[in-house]
Amino acid sequence: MIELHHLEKRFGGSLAVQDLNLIFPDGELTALLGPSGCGKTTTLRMINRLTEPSGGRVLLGGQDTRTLKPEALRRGIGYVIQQVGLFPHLNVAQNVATVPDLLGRDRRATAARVDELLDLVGLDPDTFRHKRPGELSGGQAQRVGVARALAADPPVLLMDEPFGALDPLARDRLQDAFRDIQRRLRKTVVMVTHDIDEALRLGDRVALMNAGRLEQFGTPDDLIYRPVSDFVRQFLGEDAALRQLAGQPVGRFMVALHGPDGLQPGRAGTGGAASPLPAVAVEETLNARSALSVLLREGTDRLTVTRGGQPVGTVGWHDLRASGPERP
Amino acid sequence: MQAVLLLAALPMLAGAWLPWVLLRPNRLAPGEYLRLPPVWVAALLVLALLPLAAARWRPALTWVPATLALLLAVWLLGTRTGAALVGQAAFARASAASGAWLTLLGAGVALYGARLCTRAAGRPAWTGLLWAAGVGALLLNGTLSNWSVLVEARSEGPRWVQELAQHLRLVSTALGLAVLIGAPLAVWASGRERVAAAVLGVANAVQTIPSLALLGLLIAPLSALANAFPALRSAGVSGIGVAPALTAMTLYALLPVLRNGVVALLGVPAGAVDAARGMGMTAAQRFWRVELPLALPVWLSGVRQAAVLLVGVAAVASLIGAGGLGTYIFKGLQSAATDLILLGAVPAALLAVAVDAALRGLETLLGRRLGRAA
Repeated sequence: MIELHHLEKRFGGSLAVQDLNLIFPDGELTALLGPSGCGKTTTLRMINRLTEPSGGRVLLGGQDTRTLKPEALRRGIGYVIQQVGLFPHLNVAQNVATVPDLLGRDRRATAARVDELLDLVGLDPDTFRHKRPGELSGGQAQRVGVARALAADPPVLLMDEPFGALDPLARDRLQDAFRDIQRRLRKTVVMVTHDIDEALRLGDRVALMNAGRLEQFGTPDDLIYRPVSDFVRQFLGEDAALRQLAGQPVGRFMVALHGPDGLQPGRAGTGGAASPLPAVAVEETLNARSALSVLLREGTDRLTVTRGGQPVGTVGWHDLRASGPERP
Repeated sequence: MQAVLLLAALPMLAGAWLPWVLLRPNRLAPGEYLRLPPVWVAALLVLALLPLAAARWRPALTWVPATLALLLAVWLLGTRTGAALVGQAAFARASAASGAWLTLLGAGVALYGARLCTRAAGRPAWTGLLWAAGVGALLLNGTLSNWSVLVEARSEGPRWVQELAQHLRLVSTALGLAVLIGAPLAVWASGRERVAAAVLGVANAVQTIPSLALLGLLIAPLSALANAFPALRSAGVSGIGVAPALTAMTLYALLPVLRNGVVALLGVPAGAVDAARGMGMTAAQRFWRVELPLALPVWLSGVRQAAVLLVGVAAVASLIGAGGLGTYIFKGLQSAATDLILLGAVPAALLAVAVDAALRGLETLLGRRLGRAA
């Protein structure tokens, strides 16, 4: 758990961050979102003291970070940046092993750990272990960057626009990969981003900042359906709900079929029992926004959701609003 | 490549016809020019054109005629000077004349062209160095020993070796001092924009002072220093001699070392430095593990420039009594003895080329190991 108490950063005469109070819960990914210059990167860098706060405290697991040596603090926190920052004179394995080496860990154990991590981020160790950063694509390099940050198994991961420099295709793939990794490892992650889609897609919680202050802190649903200010509403935009749907497979919203009898289960609010399946079908991996689009296009109220061609459930307007304010 | 080899063939074709040997009764008297016997003229003409033909039809073998041309030219220089001296008095000198020089120049260019051919054909480069072994063998077995420059060298003997050693000593000491002073200065300045600008400005200004003027400028303050502090005088500091030479040379070498150091350190990717900091490297670990390895190849090229520059400046330094190969150049100029000038100038030029090649090799090696030239 990371706690920020009355955190403040002054550059010259201006306040980059003021009176920031935030708690990043354990095992969750919190997206620090906001327009450029809002102080989100400064906030992130104050957590591992790359920037020293002008006032306030940062507690890491209950301990004030000022009581630690900055280097010792940083070795216990994973750090991923937009420029990736791999060391071009070292190969992939040496890059990943940086922090374990700094901590003086056993070489052989580290080598095994490197392979394990390359596997985790989806790079074949035998192919990539000895490559130089110069031989990697942008996406591959940032995968190595993530592996390097995880090498010493830190409980906390700080990410500063980690996917910001990638082309859209690579970014999508890496976001997916990272979501899977996070689902498995349950690190406490703070991710700075100015990309609303990324924040809604990856964040368990979103902290929206504006001009050095916290505007709203909550789940993506909170921000979309219960914005606390006009700024939040405007920043997320009128299509925020659609953006959130775009980040999730329709399978998450469907109502499962009870048995293999091909009949729709009875359900309060949506009508009778045992009616036949809707004629239009979509695959469960399709994103929910596209499913909504199909509903509009076909002028129908429900779709059949299939897995590998077999119907496994149905989905309708109300189901897609399931995360909305008026839960049926 | 064809153009290079054509450029090589022209001086060789002309050189074969021109006089090869200048025979003089002593090293200062006027003499008579001797030409090559027709057989050798013919052989040289053929060898002048062969590299061109080879590049056309067998590019990978161009090095064979080019190497042969150079070795034949060197061998001819040795045997023809030897033949010219038969029956002459001990003071007689046989020097290389325009024909020999042109042929050697052409053969050198042909070797360069042949190297380009070898590289283009993707063959190993060692064949391009066989000529050096051949010339070395001709030097060692005494074929060239009647050539006037080597006759002078023999009569100078141990003194020449001493001057060469002194030259090397001057260069390496000044280079060492420049690196010792320049490296910490570059590290210090690279983090501070204003300091970097000031330091580079001063070093730049020093560089614009002609070397002779700088040597002259140093005479007054250094002799004043030596007069004020006798201890310094007994340590070898005075207005003329090694002390002002080393001071001037160190100042000269400082600029390339500093400039490339600052540029190299500023050129280290910011992301790598930020990542290093963020992962918990101390300032020292950052410098030794990240910044220095990444800056080294570029920095070394500055050291190389400084070294080559120093080989030249050291030759001038002999004017104020610092010794070195320049001694022969100036002695030769004063007495109009070309052979003496060559005795100083040729080794100095070769030294510069050798130093450049050695440090360049080190750069490439480091660059490859450090992932820059991947």
